[in-house]
Amino acid sequence: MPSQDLSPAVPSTETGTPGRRQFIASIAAMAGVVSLGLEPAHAQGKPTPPRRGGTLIVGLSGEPSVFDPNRQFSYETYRIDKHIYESLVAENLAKPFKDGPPELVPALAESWTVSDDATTFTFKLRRGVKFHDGTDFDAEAVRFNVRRFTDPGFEFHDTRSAATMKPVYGGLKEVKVIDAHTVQYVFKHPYIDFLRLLPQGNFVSGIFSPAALKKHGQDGLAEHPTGTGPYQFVTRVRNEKTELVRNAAYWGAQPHLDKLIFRPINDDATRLSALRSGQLDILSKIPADGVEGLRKAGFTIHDSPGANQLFLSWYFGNKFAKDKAVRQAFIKAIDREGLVKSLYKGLAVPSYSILNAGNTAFDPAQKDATYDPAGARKLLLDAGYKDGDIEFTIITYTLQQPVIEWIQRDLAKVGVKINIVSLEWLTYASKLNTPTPETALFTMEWGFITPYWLKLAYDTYIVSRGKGEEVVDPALAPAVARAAAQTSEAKAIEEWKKANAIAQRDAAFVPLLSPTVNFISHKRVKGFNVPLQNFFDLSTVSLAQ
Amino acid sequence: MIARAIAARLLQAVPVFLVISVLVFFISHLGGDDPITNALAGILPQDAIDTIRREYGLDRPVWVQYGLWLQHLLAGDWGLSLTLRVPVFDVLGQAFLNTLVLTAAAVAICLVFGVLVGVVAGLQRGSWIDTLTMLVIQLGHNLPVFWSGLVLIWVFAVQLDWLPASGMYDLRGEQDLADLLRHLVLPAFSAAIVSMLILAQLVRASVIEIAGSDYVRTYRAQGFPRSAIWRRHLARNLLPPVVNITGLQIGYLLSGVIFVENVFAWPGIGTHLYNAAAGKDYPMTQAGVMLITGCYLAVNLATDVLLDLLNPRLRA
Repeated sequence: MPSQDLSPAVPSTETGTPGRRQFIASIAAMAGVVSLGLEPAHAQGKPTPPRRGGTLIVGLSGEPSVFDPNRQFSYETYRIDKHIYESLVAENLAKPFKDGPPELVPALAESWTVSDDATTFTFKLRRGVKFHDGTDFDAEAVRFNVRRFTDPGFEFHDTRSAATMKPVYGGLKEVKVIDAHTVQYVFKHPYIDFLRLLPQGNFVSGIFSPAALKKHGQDGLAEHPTGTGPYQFVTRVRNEKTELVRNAAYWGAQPHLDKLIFRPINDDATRLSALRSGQLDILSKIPADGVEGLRKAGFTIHDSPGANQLFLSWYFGNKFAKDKAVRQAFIKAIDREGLVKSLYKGLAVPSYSILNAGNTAFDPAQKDATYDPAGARKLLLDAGYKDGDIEFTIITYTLQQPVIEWIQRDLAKVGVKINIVSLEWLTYASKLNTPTPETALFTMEWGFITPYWLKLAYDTYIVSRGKGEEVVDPALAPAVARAAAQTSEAKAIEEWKKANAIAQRDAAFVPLLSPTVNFISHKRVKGFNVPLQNFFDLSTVSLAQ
Repeated sequence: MIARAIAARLLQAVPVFLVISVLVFFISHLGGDDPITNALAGILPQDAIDTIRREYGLDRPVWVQYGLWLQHLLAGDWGLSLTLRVPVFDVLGQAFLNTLVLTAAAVAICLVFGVLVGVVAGLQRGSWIDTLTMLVIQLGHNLPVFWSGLVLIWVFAVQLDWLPASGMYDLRGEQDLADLLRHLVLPAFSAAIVSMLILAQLVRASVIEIAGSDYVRTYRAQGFPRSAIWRRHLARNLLPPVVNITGLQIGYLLSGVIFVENVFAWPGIGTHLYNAAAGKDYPMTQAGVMLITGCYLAVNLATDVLLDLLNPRLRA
């Protein structure tokens, strides 16, 4: 067979060349050498009270999207504006990841009751809470928020928000104001996951000030985000910074830090040297090459596997994506263990299921396939494909381009030619809805601790991507619906696993890996906890002198 | 006479600007992609998308669109970014100033060090200083800015901790002029480095040429001391080539600055333009390209005018 058929395609954009990756490694290594032995040997013993005041600077891997809870996407965005907007219910983010999923705790609702059939949720709201613009938070404000994205007859209805929020609120029958401080959500179906979905970083249910929306308009809210949270918005300069300041009138415990500044830095090496030289206090998304050097230099590496997952999803409109044999062969052809070991330097674990490791329905025994290039080749041959017959495009955001290049090499080994289109994250996100016919797969990176994630993934990545529901096993849709409608958690988990097995057999998703190191902090940062989640609470963080 | 020459140059710039504006406008329409549909398909129903397309005038003939666009552009109304949904001016205005600050600093470094190195090497022709300079110039010519930038960060920010690694201001500090200058040194230097070497090479050649010219030899024969001749004639005759090459290099610097911005996380227009181009956000792309075009034209104009002013034959 002619060997040129197997040569990998040239990636469409060029960013991290090998030279640069090595350079990052050497920056980190040098950093380690220089600071060895400089670590002060004293103290560890008695706890000192957290210092009040100071400015914390958090480095972001890219520009946040919009500070509008109902329109935003990306964890980097939510890591900022979760400190501005609060939900009725929160998660206890002070719980370390190793202790398991954070439990739900009261936030803007002091208490709540759930009907036996899990369709009706009644929240007693916290009294005396004010939005950052001085207006009152009450049941009407909650109803205003929900009507914005659920009630097309509402004066302030917003179609973009409605589209974003639909996966969580699609089954809402009505939202009732019982009295000024009691609000009730009624769903058409049992919905035991609703409470857990309230404080999440996607489909964000953070409550904004209705007065702010009226004043600034649907697009303007994002430029003037106004909530009830421990920090309030000061300014956003795109590509430079977002600044928040402590909310002196906050209803809860006063946060320690005066100011939070979030800095997007696109370039891997620049982000790393900014952290190294003390310009940043906390950083997410560290290039794996840099981690060891930073650890040696005294930075705190926060292991936090399980909440997040990198995976690929199909555009079912593509002719190859429609073919189950191609989908199955694709998964078999990827050496996920090798990928984790070499590209991620062991700082990730391979994934074999769309249910991420931290998900309550995760079962390590549920694996879609193991690495088997010969098996993949056989599948393709049996389906009538010769080497070089299959060629399609994967689109990705630049940060994960090396992973896609790895997959490109793996697939070339079984005679499949992959072309790569790589774009910066925000641009990438805006292009996801209009794929070219050659595009078969796109990169995604998120996850939930609730198994309802499988339904969200089904709705978002199968139904709305080229009518995937007509392509995948028809048993999947009813299995997902059945799992979502359970009223007992234990029973639900069993059903979710069954649905997951169908998705795995059908190669409906391509799980890749879960990074284990997602956040790094400077040693002067105190009280920073990384929970089993994709975000954190900075109101408990302080800076040492 | 000089006034007429300058007026003529100003007039010449107008058609150039118009031609470029036509190109910019139509090239961004060539992609075939409709950015509104691109951004909103699947999010909004088709009739809502059509409404927005009408709001942006995308349903009108393309020449009408061009006329409206040029009119708005000149009036400072750069439209709404299609992907960010905020006025383009709000995003690009400050960012563009930041890019100019960095470019200006790079030009200053390029001029000062380029001329200095060139003159020293030229006057010491054949000495070890000259040989060393020529070696550095040969090697440095091909330095990619993203690489030299990383090396500078590594040495001066990470290892020595003398200068900040990235950004325009210390976000925790005073954010005054001194702070800005500290943050400028590394990015400006890495942006300037290649142009500086080119300028130095040219200045060296000019110095050698002037030193070997007939009039210098004549003055020498008449017994004028070498230092006096150089004081009086070298700088004067060096100016036109320096102005000329600097004018050319500013264009090069401006494009190089965009890479430097990425390496130093400098909040300029580079990242915005890259994202806008990739996202088919053409109000943003067009405004950005026109800003840069305006800069090129202004620099060329200034160079020409300066050369006219330096030319004694044009004086009345």
